Amino acid sequence: MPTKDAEFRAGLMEILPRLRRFSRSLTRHEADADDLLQTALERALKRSDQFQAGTRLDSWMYRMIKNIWIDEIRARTRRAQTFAPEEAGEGMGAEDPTFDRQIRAMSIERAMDTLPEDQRIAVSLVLVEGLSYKEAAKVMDVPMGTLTSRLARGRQALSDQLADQEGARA
Amino acid sequence: MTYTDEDILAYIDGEMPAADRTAFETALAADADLAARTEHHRRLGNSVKSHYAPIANAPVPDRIAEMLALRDEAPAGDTLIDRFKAWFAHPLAMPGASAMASLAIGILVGAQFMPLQTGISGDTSLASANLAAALSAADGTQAWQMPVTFRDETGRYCRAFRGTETGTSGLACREGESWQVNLLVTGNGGEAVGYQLASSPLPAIILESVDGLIEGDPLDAEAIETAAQSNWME
Repeated sequence: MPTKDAEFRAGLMEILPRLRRFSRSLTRHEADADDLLQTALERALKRSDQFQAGTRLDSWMYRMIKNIWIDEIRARTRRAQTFAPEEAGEGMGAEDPTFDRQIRAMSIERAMDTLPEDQRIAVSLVLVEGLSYKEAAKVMDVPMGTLTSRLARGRQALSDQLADQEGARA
Repeated sequence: MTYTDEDILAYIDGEMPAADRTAFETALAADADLAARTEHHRRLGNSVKSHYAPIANAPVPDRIAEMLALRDEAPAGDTLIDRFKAWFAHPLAMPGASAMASLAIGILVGAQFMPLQTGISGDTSLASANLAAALSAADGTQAWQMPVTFRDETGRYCRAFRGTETGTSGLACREGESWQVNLLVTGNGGEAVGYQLASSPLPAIILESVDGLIEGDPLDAEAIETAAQSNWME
């Protein structure tokens, strides 16, 4: 008989690569992404009894990852306001020695970097993770209209950013 | 009618109601500006998607995969994983233990990309011919051992396998005429280090999966022979 715990873990294992991708698109930083994922898994294992069988484990996890990340951002912002007003989130990619991807990839990364958190989460859930609007709105705890407007503004901002970068290089 | 960006995005994302789609497509054909805006957003979406796609295809780091393999609290009873640990802890049962000690864990789910020598063929998760032949043979082959054979809840046959030279191990289940590899842990055959299950030829993550999938007891030699003769049909 498979135990409930083993089933839950197997379910997480199956979606792990996608959860990692989501963490990565939120944090834009490999080490941050894996820390975030690790924290989320710890929390999920601890709260596995709160997960309702028959509902979507991926949405449950996306929401958990999103909440932990938002808390982290808030904590960082507080720290940054106290100590180093200019440093919050800046140049994270540039200092990363593994950050040697193609210019195109860097552009996307940089453009994602400029989005407000709300818009980035919407873009990540729908564009990267392929969630439906309805599922994404549920994960974000917002009405559909809010989701679609964040999504539209986020994509427009990405588009503007990429055009700017294009212009700067030309 | 004029379409907003949100309309365009809904169309691209497959969220536009079917009733509106035809009208939108008619407008697309007639309105070059609308077509250009739509194409622009479609390309942007594809760029973002493909930028992040490799992350979901990369192996998950050990420390994260291992979190799911380990239990928070020791199970109270005689679970299968404990029995396996006990069996493999026996000196006679650990010929390849040192080769397994240094592990790089990669998880394969669905369509993934791993080099051929790991036993996966091309860009699917079907077992390569070489591994598939071993999976179909009652006793495995020289290159691939079959430490555990069992049936899952749906009656499918599944086998945990282990490469004798590569240290790669995994779990495959019979899907029709082929073997689907559900889990793969690549070993690099290094020297013994303090890995959590150094005494076992199968990594904890695989034993956990076996534990999660198995219905009843593992098959004994006779049952395995019978299953192999019936070509692993349910």
